[in-house]
Amino acid sequence: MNKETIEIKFTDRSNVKSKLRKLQFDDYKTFQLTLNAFYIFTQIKKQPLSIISSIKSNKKIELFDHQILAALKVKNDFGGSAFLADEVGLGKTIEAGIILKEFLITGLAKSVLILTPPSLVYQWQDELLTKFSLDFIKQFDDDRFKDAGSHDLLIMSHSSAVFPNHKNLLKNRNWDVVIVDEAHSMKNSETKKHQLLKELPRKFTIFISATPIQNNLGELYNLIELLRPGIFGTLEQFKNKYTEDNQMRKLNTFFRDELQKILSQIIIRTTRQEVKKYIKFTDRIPYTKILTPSDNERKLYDEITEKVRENYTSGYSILHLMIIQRLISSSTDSSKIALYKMKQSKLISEDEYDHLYSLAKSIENDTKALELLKTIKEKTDSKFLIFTEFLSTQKYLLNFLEKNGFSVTIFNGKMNLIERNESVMRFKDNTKILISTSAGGEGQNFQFCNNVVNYDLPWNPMKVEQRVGRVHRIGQKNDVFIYNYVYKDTIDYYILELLYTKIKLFSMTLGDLDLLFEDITDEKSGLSLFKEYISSKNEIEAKNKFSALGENWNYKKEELNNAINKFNQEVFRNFKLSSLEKKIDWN
Amino acid sequence: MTGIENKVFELVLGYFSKINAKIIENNGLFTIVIPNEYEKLFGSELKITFDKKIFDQQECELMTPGSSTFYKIIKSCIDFGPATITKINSTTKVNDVLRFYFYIIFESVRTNTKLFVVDVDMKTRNIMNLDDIKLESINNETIELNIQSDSIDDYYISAIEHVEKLMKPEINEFKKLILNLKQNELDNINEEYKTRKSEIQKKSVIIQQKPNSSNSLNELILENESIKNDMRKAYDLLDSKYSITVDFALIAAAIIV
Repeated sequence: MNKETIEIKFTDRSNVKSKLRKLQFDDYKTFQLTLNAFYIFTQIKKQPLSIISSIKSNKKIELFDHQILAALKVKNDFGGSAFLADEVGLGKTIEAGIILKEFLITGLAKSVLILTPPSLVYQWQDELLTKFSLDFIKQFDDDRFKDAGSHDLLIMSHSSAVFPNHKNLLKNRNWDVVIVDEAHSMKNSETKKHQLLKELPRKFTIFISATPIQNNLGELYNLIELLRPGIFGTLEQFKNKYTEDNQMRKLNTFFRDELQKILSQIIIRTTRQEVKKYIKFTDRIPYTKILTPSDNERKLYDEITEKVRENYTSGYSILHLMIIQRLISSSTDSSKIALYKMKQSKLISEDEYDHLYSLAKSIENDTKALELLKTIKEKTDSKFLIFTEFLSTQKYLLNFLEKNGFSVTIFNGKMNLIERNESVMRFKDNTKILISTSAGGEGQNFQFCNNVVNYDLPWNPMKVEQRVGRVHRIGQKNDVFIYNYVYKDTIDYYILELLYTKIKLFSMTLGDLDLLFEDITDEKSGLSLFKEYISSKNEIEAKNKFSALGENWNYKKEELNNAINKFNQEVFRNFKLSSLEKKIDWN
Repeated sequence: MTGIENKVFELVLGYFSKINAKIIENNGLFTIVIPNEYEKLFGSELKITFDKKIFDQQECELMTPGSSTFYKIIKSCIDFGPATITKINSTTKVNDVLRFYFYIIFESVRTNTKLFVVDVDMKTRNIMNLDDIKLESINNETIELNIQSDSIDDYYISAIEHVEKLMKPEINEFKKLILNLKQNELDNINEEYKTRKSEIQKKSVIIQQKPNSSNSLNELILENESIKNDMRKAYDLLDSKYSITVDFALIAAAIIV
């Protein structure tokens, strides 16, 4: 141990020697430009934060003092590694972006790995590209991805990083910076994620989480061990010194100052209270319309649902059945697609198809669409961002709203980057309404709009949050209204009841949701809710099951909230960890 | 403008002039019409400024470290790696000199860089000290040089031997800084594992005093192995984190006649 060797290199990247040998000479101007460039490069490195002017003049970023101060602190006082633990909504990603850009520009870093929950991978890639001109490769859904060891700027989900093939490649190279978003998920030292981080060779580590611990101080110990190994000694020593009970839930107040001193060299935590003088936080106001469908809509839904229930145990692919159920919950036009799929897979006969299709055709307009129209007409000066899961529903709504005299733009995952940007610009500058599929909306920011419509409801709580998160973020000047339209006694109705009434989803943030649903992946959550619904003999049983599920989730949420509040009260109370604590003159 | 802002100004406009871009200035706002072969890099037209006030009022890009266009320019200039012929702006006659420009990069958890110039007398191969001379451009085509290809390597070796020798104190200083940082972390880790090992030892004494303790003892042996394993990993990580590289990068050369 304690190797003290220095690697000495004599590089000649641009083949200067070869040019000399071949007597190939450049003009004096080129020569001067090169020397000038290196002179500037040397000067840049001496600055506390060399990119300060470019960041402050970046019109794509709404920048706040605490973010710049945090970046300055990490680079100059923390030695490049830190735990960014600002409260929710204060732009921790921007802080990390500034740090990254600075490290890359000044040569402190060449390789960066970002580990994030799957739901945030796209957002990270998009924000770093659009706001910082940093082009990261993401591990899935990116044609440029080769393998986990081949890219210098890579984003991976926590869960993918621990796959054996990825893990080995990640461990076999030296990373300059490793960023871990929602780092609280590394709190358990027994997990593969934690183990991976323990073994990942790196110079600088940035942890990001608004909730560093949820249950006990042992979690904080485990996280800090990954950032500054050994700083608290062994877990036993930490427990004996800083906590008063076996569960490590109570802080030993006698050593509070000492703990604060150590944490203040590692953690930066700015609170909403501290920045409220320059950031306006807006509210989310949900409006849920429980509608009674027309007779034919009811009949169509019930008859198709009955067919799905009948086939639940008869060997049909559960995913196929779920897609059918989701299609009939979206719109009449998407129900027609569902019927076609059912006929193709022999779930219904030709006769049944003809009967149900003519029933669908008899529905002139969706009750939901008519209700939506009323809402839009009431708000003459506002823009609306309408989400649907399906292209067929998107097309239907486009025609319906245009026929009613509104200017509408669409946005979906089938569009290329240029088309997407054009859509966003059209919505921003010209049209009142944007209809987006969930896939299309990922990573886009629409702070200039403050009405979100869930025309159909994703069955995954994370997706609901991602939709709302497009408009409710730093930069939103108004309260955000969230409109939900569902028919009574349908699966969407039960899910909405569960998410909205029971766990008050719309008042939760992505960080909270990650904590509550950390074991639930995209597919799993929708599927498990669908199974609960479709395995019920009738709507009453379904209603009871969802009610019980709601109790469970609510209990889990309350437990979590209590633990977090208690921690914040006990541990962070009176701690001065804010970036604003130390004023630096960076002008 | 400050010194660095002046340099940025010179570099950006110098670069665009070199690639034959059309530069139109209007009260501090520069419109740059990019030639076809560079459109992939910059697009067909750029609007740039060096003045924050103009940037605040108009749609344009501020040229400053961190800006996307400035980054592309500085990167292109760094990649030129020019070799050139110049002359001394003086009447004092010296032998022809080969001047090497090194960019010395110290890399670890801290980073440092230094520009360094070494002059080699092309006749005697001795290191010279022409620090205070001013260079001037010269028409390359009028110069006839008689340089043996092999001798370039000899000049280069003389130069790097010299620069390496001169930089030794700075390398040692940098090494000391990094090793101090490493030692702080190492002390923490050593202390933690020392305590964990002594906890195991205490447990083993207690277990051995009890009858039928073989299972517990086996568990303890496994725990001990796991601690050793963890410690090895922690040391490896520390070695990689605090590894030091010093690169004497050759970035340009000038033959001074």
